[in-house]
Parts: sequence; C-alpha cells; structure tokens
Amino acid sequence: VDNHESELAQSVNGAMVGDSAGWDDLVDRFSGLIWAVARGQGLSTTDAAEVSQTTWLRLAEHISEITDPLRVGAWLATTARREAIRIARLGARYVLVDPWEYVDHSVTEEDLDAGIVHQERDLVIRQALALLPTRCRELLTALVLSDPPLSYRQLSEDADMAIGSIGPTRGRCLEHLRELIATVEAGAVPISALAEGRP
Amino acid sequence: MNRSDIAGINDPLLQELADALRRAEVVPDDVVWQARAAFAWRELTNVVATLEFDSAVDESNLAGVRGSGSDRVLRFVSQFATAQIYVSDAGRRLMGRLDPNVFRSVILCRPQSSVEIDIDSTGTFFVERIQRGLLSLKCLPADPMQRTFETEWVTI
Repeated sequence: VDNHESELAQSVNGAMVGDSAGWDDLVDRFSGLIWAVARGQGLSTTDAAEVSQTTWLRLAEHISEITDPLRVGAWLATTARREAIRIARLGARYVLVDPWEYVDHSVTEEDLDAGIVHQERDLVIRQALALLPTRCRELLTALVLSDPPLSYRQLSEDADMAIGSIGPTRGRCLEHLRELIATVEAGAVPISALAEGRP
Repeated sequence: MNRSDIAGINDPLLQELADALRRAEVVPDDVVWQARAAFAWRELTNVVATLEFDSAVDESNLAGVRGSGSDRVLRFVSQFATAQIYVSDAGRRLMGRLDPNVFRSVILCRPQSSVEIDIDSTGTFFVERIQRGLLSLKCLPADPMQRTFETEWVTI
C-alpha cells in the first residue's frame, strides 16, 4: 500500500474513532468537490451550502460504514449530488405552490442533466486530486494555479523539497493522478488499495 | 519565461487540471466551517435510521407529481422502528408518526439548536410553523432501557 492510500486511510480511520484532525483532513480534501457538485447542479450558494452541510453530517453519521477509504470521495460526491437534486426539486415544487417562497433554483431536469454532463470531467479530476497524498496535491495545485508561475526554486522552498527532486516528483504525482482518474472513472478501486481498508 | 518552461504544463493532464481548478469556485469560509463542525454530531452509540422514501425525489419522475401540491412524505427506517413524516403547506407544518408506538418525545435537531416535543398516545407528533432547513429527529423511548431512534439529516 503506498503513501496516498495510507494517508487517506489514516484520516478516514482516525475520524471514525473521534480524531478531529482526520476529519479536518477530509474536509480539506473534499469540501471543494462537494461544493462543485452542488453548484454544478445549478443551485444558489445558499442551497449549495445546505447541500454541503447535509453531506458532511451524513458522513459523520455513516463514516463507520465506509469500508474502503478510497471510496470516501465517491460516497461524498454521490451523497452531495442526491441532496442537490432533492433541494432543486423542493425549490421547483415550492415555487409553484407559494410564490412568497420563491428562490432562484427552479431548475428543470434538462438543466440538471446538461449540468451533469458538462461538469462530469472536472468532477472526476477534482475527486482524483482529492485522493492524492497531500504533498502531491499541494505541488500540482501550486504548479497550475500560482500566478505568476512559480520557479522551481520557489516551489522547492514552499514544498520543502530539493530542487532536483521537483521534476521527478511532479512526474510521479501526475502519473498517480492519471491512475486515480482512471480509478474514479471506472467507479472501481484496485484490489491493492483494499489492503489497508477496513473489512 | 512561461509556465511551460518551468512547470511542465505542456503535459495535457496538467493543463486539464489547471482548467478544472480555474473553473472551480472558492468554497466560502462558512461552508468549510460548517463542514468541520459536522464532526461534533458524530455519535458512536445510536443506530441512525435511513431515509428510505422521500416523495420529493422518489415520486418526481411521475407525471404531474412535481408541483401538484406541497405535501411531502418522508419515511425513515431502522431495524427497530419506522418514522413516517408528512410536511405540508410548503414545508410549514410537520406531522410525524412512529411505529412501534413506544416513544414519549422527539427532539427536533437543527445544526444550531434543538427543541423537544411530546409524542401523543397514538405515537404521533405535530410541529407548526417549522422553518426550512436541515433537520434530524431523535425519538426518546418511554422506557429508558429501550433504544433511541435517530434519523438521518434531511432538508425540509
């Protein structure tokens, strides 16, 4: 079992037994994914916040049932999507019966479907990124998001990594990301990843 | 010097990652805070009843159901008990019925507050002027040796 699986497994297993640092790590990894799922369904920021809160409360209730830590991202994304659809439909329903309850989320099913297709690839990438070990996640994010682009010297200082190892590390992290994207797309987790999971 | 020189962003996957992250919104601070705070609701002892049926979602594919009225039915099921919840008047009034009829009161939990309501002799309870938002029910048994019945969180 390599590092990313054990790192994520530690957080999931830690949260199960009451370790808030493990929980906070899950929030760091996945809050962006959940937000993207909810907003991708056409919800307002208020409703997306509610979807996010419901999703995390649900995880708190059900975390002891997560038998494979690598699946926690898919579990969160599925829960968030289901809740987003629920809220969107509640909004559509209430708008018709009570105009005073009007809120701007009267989306149609066609909107939902179009949104899902359009956002799908981004969400797969986000989910795979969230599954990466922290070091890889931070390095890749810094590489693509810093503006102006960081030099290897700056990256090496920020990531506390020797300059010479940034190139190879970046390559390994990208390879890892590629594998995780394939895993997420397949909706399956490799057998080797199950080794550290709970039964 | 451009990004591709130093960061290897010419890798198509890195470019795709860059695009995905740039399209992504920043998660508001209070949303992250709520996510962290959700951990406090974790309970090891109670079995949580799952939402088995929600007419808002489970009937929405039937023609004419969506928007045809504001009544909503939710059913929570655990190994030991079932709660049927009816929400009417655009979510303003709530009635709940518990089976078996062994509970004395129900705590309406909201993320920020909670209130306890009596259950009548028929196993039914009513709440008027209920606010929209997240809700979980914790039903307390008349016999303290029996199990508490607790539902999943749901938006009403």
